Order: sequence, then C-alpha cells, then structure tokens
Amino acid sequence: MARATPHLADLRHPERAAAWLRGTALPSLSSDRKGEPEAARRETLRSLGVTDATFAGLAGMDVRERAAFVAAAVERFEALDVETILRSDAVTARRLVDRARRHYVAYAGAAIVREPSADDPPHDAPPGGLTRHVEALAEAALGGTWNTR
Amino acid sequence: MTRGRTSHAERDLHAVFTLWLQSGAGGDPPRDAAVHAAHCVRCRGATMALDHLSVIDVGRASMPPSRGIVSERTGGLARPRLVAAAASGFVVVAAAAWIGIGAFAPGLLGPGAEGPSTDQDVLGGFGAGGPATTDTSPALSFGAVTSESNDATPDPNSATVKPTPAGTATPVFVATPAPTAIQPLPTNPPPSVGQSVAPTAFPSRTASPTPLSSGAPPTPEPTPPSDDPTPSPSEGGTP
Repeated sequence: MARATPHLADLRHPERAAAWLRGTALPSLSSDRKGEPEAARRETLRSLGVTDATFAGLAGMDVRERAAFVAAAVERFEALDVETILRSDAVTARRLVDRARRHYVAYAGAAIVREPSADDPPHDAPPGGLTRHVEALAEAALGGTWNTR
Repeated sequence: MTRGRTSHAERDLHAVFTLWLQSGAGGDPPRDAAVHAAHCVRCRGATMALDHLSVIDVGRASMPPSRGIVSERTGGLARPRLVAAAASGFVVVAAAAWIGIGAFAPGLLGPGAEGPSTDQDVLGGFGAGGPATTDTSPALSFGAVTSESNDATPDPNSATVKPTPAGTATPVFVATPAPTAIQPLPTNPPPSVGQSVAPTAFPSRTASPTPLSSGAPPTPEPTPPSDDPTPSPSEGGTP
C-alpha cells in the first residue's frame, strides 16, 4: 500500500492496478517456482486450459518473456500495461513480447509436430480459430477445391 | 533444377508464414503462404499452438492457498515474547514493591533487612521510630538500635541508656523517661526534676519543665553536652 500511494492517480483504472500489482510480484516469481515439481505445475495449469503444447511453449521462455507473453497474448493487456508489468519502456517491452512469441511458436509448434495426437486442437476452441482461418484462405486461393480433412 | 527452385520457394513461403505468425498473426497472411501453411506440418503446428492460447481461461484459477507463513512466524514468536514481557513486568513491579516496602516500612522486611537509615543519621542513632513526641505515658520506645549503631553514633545520653543484657544484640529497648503526673507549675523556682525522671532519649522541643510533686531538690548531674545553649531545667535528671 505504501508503494502504491504515489501511483494512486494511475491505479484508479482496474487494468492499470492489475498491471502494477503484477509488476510488483514479478521479481519474486522465479524464486517461488524453483522448488515446485513440473508435474504439479503442469497439472495446475491444465485446469486453466493450458495444454501440453502450450506448456512446452511457455517452458521455453524465461520469466520475463513468459510474463510479457501471457500479458500480451493470453490476457490481451494493452501495450501500456505490458510496459508497466515489465517495468520497462515501450521499445524494450515490444522486443520482449516479440521474442517471447517466437520462442512460443517454435517450442509449442515443435511439441505439436512431435505428438500430434496428444495435442489435437482443443475441443472447446472457438470455431474462428487461426487454423481455420488459414485453411479458409487456402481453400479460397485454390478455388474451393482443397480440403485438408 | 525445378525441384531446387520449388524447395527454395517453399522455404520462402515457410519463412513468410512463420514471420506472419510471430508478428502477431494480424490480418491475413499472403495467399501463397496460406496455401503453403495449409499442407505444411510445421506451419500447421505453429498455427495450432497459437490457437491453443485461446482456450486458456485465467479466470478459472482458484485463489492461491494461504501459506500463513507470516502468521505462523509471528504466532510462534508472539507467545514467548508475551511471556517474556509479562515476566519482565512482574519482576519490575516486584522490585518496585520491595523497594517501596523497604523505604516506608523497614520493619516488615525483618531485622537487618533495611539499609542504613537516614533517620538514624539525623537523630544520632536514637532509633528509626520517628520523632519523639511528648508522650507522657511510661513506655518503652522500640527502636531498631543495634549495638553497632550505638557504637557508631555518639550517644550524648549514654548514661541514661540502660545497659542491654549480654547476648541480646538487637533490638535494644531504650527506656524512656517516665514522667509523673503534671502538676501546676510551682511558683518557686527552680523546678525540680524528679530523680526518677530520666532525660528522654528523644529530644523534644515541647519538653516542658515537668515539675514533680516530690519537691525534692534538684540533683544536678553532669549532663551531656547539648547543642542547645540553653539547657532546659528538665534535662540533666538522673534516671
């Protein structure tokens, strides 16, 4: 509370306050997770909808990259809030998010390629997912004659 | 040659599509890159990996378990601290009470428990029983006068003090004068002092001449030197 007092004007917005709190807790995350076994972490995240492929993609990042990626790609925080979480300027935050996304695509995509049956697209995935969107574009490009299934 | 160009073009399409994914997958990818991604295992895997993010619901997270580390630590240390504080307070109060009793009621602490009394210093070792009064009743004043104090303090009225029995160190009962009944002042001076009247061990300002009815002539005896330049007639009597 004492540390938040100078920022009261900025923290009136709920997302600003959430970002500020996350940025305050971020430095202590790495030390807290050291002793927790991976199986327990995986099981905890599975209850949130994190698949094995997603877990592999998140595991390929460091703590700051993971925080940046989750805030930007999962929770859809605005760039200003991501900067607040990372306690960095806009350029640094942007670079960090891009690097985290590259790592995620590489690691998670590789995990899906290795075990495609174990990581089928989520059953509760929205119908307008990115995969469906790309397939639709390909079908349209080929005149509706191509079907991946 | 044709195969080489195709492979090179596919690598370019793969790179283009991957770059589009890594940049946030905003908008639509190039059509040829989309066609490539539709049948490229790696590109499909990368695309599906981003789709997996859409099913994550952070709101399903339960409240973090309360570790209670702080409360346990403080709770574990609070009790010994409380006990120590209570013990310290009790010791302080007991010490204060002991000192207070010793200052105001030294007799309660037993013989020898009280320290050197300033009263004795002031009164010249005539006991700590307080200032002498004009008590006319024959009584024995109890004073915690020890033999040491008798020896240490000069006793101007040593002649009036009865010798203490041998072997009785403390306390010493000092005989106080037993004045007789007060009679009207005789007209004829000098006021005689009865032989049985002993000078009081406690000098009193109100010690008025106590003429006795015996009318016996005064038997002047050497009186100890006194600070008072004007000795009263009542002084100097013999016990």
